[in-house]
Amino acid sequence: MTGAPDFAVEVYQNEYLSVGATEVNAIVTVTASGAGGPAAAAGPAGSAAEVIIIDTSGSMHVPRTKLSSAKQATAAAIDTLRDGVAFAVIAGTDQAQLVYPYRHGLEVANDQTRAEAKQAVTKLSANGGTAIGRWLHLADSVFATQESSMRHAILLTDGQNMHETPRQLARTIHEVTGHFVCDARGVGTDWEVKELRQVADALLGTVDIVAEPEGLEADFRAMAASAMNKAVADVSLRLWTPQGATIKFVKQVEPTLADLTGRRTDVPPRSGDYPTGSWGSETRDYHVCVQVPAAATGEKMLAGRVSLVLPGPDGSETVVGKGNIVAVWTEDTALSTRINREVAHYTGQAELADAIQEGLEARKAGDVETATAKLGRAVQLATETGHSDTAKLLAKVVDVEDAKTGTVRLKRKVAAVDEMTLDTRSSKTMRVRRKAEPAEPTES
Amino acid sequence: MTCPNCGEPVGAKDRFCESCGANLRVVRTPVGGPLGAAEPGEPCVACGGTHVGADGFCEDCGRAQPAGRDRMESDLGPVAGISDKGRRRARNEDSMAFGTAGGDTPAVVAVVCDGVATSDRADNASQLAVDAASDVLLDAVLEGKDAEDATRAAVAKAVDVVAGLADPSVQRTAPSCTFVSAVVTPGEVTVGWVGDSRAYWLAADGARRLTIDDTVAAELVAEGMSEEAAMAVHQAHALSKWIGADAGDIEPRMLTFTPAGPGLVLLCSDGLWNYLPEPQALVEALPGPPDGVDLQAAASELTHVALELGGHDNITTVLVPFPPKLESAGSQP
Repeated sequence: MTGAPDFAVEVYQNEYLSVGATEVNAIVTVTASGAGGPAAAAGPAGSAAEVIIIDTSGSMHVPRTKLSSAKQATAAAIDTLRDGVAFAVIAGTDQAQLVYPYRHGLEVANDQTRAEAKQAVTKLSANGGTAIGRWLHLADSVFATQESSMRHAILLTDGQNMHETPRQLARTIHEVTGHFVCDARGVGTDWEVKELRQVADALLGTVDIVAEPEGLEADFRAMAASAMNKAVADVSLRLWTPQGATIKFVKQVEPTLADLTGRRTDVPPRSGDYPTGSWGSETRDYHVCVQVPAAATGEKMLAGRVSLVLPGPDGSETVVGKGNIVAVWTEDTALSTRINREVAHYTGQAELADAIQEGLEARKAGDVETATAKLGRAVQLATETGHSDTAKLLAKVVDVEDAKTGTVRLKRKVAAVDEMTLDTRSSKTMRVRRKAEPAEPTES
Repeated sequence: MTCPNCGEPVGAKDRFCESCGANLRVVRTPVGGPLGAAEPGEPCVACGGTHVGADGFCEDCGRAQPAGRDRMESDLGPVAGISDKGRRRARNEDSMAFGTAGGDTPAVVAVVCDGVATSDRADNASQLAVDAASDVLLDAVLEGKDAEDATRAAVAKAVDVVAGLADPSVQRTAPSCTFVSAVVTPGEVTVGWVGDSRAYWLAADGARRLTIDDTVAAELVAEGMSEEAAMAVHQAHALSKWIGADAGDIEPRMLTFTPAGPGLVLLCSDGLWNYLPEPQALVEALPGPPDGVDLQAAASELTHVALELGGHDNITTVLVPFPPKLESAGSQP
């Protein structure tokens, strides 16, 4: 494939373990650079495919601006598709309907087809229920009509998945996993964060809330633009581990938290591949935790080796980049107790996300004690680690008495939008400060 | 005949290679140390598997294979040595260098330096010191100079190169090391030392320690305190003399003697003698009688014993037989 980026792998860890210790933690930073970007737009654009799925259930009429904003947003996304990209638009209710093109399949983007698609979108009306699995199923069969190396979908909904069972949705997600990447967006506050997170996590995309319909257009344009900047799809992270090792977890920790542990495909004899989706020029961080058999003091062991696997034609693959995760056993406690900044940073972020999600869950279930404890811990963590945006979101859900000790009281009335925003944003992470970077961290 | 350094043809009577300038009468360990590296195809030291990767890790069990300074081994025939990282330290900060000089005044020279762990770049310091000192000793014996004068010059040179490493802005961590050397000729043995690396004479009869440590405890013993009481003093093992920018002007202590019969001169760092301080224990740890034992096997066995007893520090062991097993002056080209 031309225009594929170069991948570099860096490992951040404290390699020193105390005698008898077996757990090795490392942050693996993968940087892809030199992806085609705008220049590649002139290249073989036929390899990219985009499907936009827009919810047209009856509730999209309430308020009225919701549907009109969704239409505008879809039009903006269509405008962002570069010439040559294969695309389609699906309208979703309790059924799924292909809005454009007019026959089953994908259409190649150019001035004329983009105009036709936008025209078809303006005619949409809202009526019916919500069955997200059926939408994904149709998207999958539309994608399947063409050989495209990069498949991306945008899914927008405003309601809960009422017209199919959770099992049906889970089965469909399982069926289409690995076929395309999907970013999911909820508009308003009547949708279920858990449901969309399930879709986005499985399909290696992002989940977010767009509280006000007016915000949709900018968000859709950004998602489509980001999809257009991807240069290589179906990239896997390959992890080699030694004999007798157990993989405790493999998580993407930046830009968002995503647990990949269960997504492993074994590559005998001693490796496994974890899906990472499509890549443009970008940087992502992974937290790898491996348990290895302890060795004698002074011994050094390779506890893991990380590389990236790019698919090639006819099932061939290219392995690029290499990062070694090592373990050295020492009796020098000054070495073994040293805290690695990167590992601590992302361990803290994961704990913060867990505290928020578990706290909100408990709050919903009416378990005031657990909710107070968890959200209090979240406030404490957010304050300690300088997550000021998260702290602000938390302050809308709890009254903070003492941020340092995490003493909080649950607010009696919480706006649904505040709670859902806190929930969806909890899995967004902040890049660890590195020496070369500006002093102020930026939320990503 | 060809030059062992560059492979170009040389004359049988040449002292230097006409092509690269190498001294044809000298054989010595490589500058920078006889760095170890796993040979391709060698089985893993931990699991015995045969899939050791190019980066020095076993592809089965992940164990790092000894490499670089972790385990340095060299056997030049008339002298052999092993320097091992041990089991507790992250790095090997010991170094060794040795060589043989042919010609009219054949001799074997050897130097062991133990980098002071609390100093910065201690491994760098000890390696520079052994390389510089052994060159001075080899040049001196080729020119037929007095071994004690040569030893003094070698220490001065070592001080010079190690002091050159110091960063003037961080005085307390100036790179530093100990020093012990041997010059073994067909007639006598000269040892010189600074610090607590030791030389021993190992023989079936009359095995003894040749050096007196430059440590706080050893100085107290010299002043009349009992060994037991001296060892209990705070920082008993602290060096009273060392080589480094912050060591001041130092002179090595020296000893020259003519052994009564054949045996072995052992130079070692405290990683070995901490476990086997008694000369008789060292003799007994050898895989054969001191006279005629295989040098490499003997160094390997002594290292193994220290590792088995804990391997708390870096372990360096260099062995030189007396009389030296050098071809006589007449048969040397």
